[in-house]
Amino acid sequence: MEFESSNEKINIRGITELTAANAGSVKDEVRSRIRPEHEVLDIDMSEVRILDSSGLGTLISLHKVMCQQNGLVRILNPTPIVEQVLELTRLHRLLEITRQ
Amino acid sequence: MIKDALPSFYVQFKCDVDASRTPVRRVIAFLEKCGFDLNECSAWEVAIQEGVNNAILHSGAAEESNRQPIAIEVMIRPEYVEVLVHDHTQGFSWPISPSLPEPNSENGRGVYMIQQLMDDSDYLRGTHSNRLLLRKNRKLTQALSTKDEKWKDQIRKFEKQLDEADSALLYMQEELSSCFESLSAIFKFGTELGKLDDIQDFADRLLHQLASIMEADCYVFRTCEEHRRTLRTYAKSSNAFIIEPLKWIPGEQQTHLEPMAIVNRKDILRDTKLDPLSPGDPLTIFNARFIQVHPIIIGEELIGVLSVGTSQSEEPFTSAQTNVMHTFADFLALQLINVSRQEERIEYGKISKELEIARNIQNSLLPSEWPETERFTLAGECITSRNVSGDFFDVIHHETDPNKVLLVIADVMGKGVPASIFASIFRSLVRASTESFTQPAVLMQRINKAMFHDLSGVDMFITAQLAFCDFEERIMRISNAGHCPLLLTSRESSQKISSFSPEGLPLGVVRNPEFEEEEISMPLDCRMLMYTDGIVETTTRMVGNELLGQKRLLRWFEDARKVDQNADGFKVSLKNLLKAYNGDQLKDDQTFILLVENV
Repeated sequence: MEFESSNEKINIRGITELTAANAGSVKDEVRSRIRPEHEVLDIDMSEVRILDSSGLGTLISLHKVMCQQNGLVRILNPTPIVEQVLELTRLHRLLEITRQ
Repeated sequence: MIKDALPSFYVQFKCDVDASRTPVRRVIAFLEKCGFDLNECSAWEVAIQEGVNNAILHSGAAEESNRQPIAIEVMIRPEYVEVLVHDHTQGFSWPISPSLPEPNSENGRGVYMIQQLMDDSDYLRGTHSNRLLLRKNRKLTQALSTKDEKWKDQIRKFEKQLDEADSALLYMQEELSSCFESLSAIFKFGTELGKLDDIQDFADRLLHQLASIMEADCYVFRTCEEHRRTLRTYAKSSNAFIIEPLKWIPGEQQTHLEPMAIVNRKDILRDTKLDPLSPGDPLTIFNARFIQVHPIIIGEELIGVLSVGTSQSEEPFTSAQTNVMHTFADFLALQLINVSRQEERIEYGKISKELEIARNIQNSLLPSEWPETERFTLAGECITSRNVSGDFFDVIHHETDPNKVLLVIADVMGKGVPASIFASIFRSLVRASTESFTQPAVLMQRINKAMFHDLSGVDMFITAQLAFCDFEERIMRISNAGHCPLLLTSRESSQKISSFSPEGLPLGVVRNPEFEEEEISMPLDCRMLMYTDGIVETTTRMVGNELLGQKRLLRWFEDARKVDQNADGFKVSLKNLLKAYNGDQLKDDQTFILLVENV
């Protein structure tokens, strides 16, 4: 997992799986990197082959953290399965999906 | 069956989230190899992983080392793919129509996702294992005409229904088969119960039959003993198995399978290839791939533990086989308990018979004939709280003079057999010391000297009272060894009741004690009572808000003495009094002697 941070934005890349096996550690790691001045959390999900309900829990938790500081979470370039999971759980309405 | 020719895949792994990713990926790799496209595989991966996560999350509070493995089974059919996730956890309630939680909720979407990603899903929750069924239809690549489509849809529907019925039948057949085997074996062995004289042989044959049903090649059955802290090997599949008795300390971390199953009171299924046994585990001797350990608990009591292993099978025991194992183990344990109780009953019967004989002997030692003179009558009774008594009374006639008798009453500390043995010794010693017949204090000293060593050796003692009576001279000489006082009065109402208790310690307390001797005159129309403490101390029923104590006994004596009746009449009256105050169970022996003069 890689992090790139600027004054307003933090970008995460390199996640290949987001499941019960790593959801907790990813959540803790990302939360520790978010600073109050960050307005956008970009999560690049172009390499994610599996996203389960625990992984969704992590995305929602990060979304709540960003909302508290009037920021937002963007899911960048999700793979088809990630998009499918977000849509069937209707979380695409909560988390912004962006294609670049 | 056709099913056997179709591709299938099986993987088993530890009940642990981290350990689950690799096997799930292996399943997906298998599906890819079977030609499924990326989208199908991705959907399968999410659904299977959710199923596995659920199984692990519902594995309860068991420690990781105690959790039983999870298995994934994949079956490829022409029209659909079926995946079964087997687990041995406590399971959970599968929602019929799951709904999504509030958008901000961080959990509660797993089952909903499974149902959305699959065409069919079901969860079979069992007593010892659970099974999640996932099914997804395969994509049809061939273009179909509208007309054909209609028929083919119909055919597919029928085929699907047939296939489901086939699976259900197979499952039922397996369950029924195992039940039939259990029942037939138990009926077969049950018929032997009436003529069971070798429980060991019975256990060997029952377990041999079980191993055959479970397709197992080794077993060991251990039973508990020594306050449930040791397991003794009761039966084993091979004499080559040298298995030491198993001991364990409760509260300590258990690493071997048998104590682990006992302490947690849960079955353990161990795949030794995946999770090898701890060093020194006695079950290593099985050299088995799969080992199932079942603690046998009847009620709350641990009876033993049965371990079964298979070295040939590549698959663990099925739920049906495990159920058979439980049935057989519990059945065998009940038979062991029954045999043990039967032996106890036989032993108890023997002891009861011996006690009955002892009681008859003891009764024969009590006086059968009471000396009677023209004026004096005597009576006595020994009411025992158990089969045999520690109380004793006797009346010894003078060899030549019918007007002289020695009255003896004694109470050995305690009850039952030990007390009765000392009572018999006491009787023999008194009867053997006739030269001291007229000197009760001397006689008491002799008896103490003879019995001191034996009594003090077992911390027991005897209270006793000896009363020499000379009806012609109208005197009594009394000696007392820590016993209840002798009560003496006459029929004359102006005469008070006097109690006599010369100084003297109980027999067996001191090596050479002094015993006082008191000589008293017998009043005209005399009434005398000697008794043991059981009469005034152990009654349990209240009459008029009081128990029978010394005062109430004196009141009875006060009333009874005025009646013109012989000793037998007094005896009936006293027994009626005792009957009124004694509860259902006598706590101590009750003994008395009555001497009555009727002028």
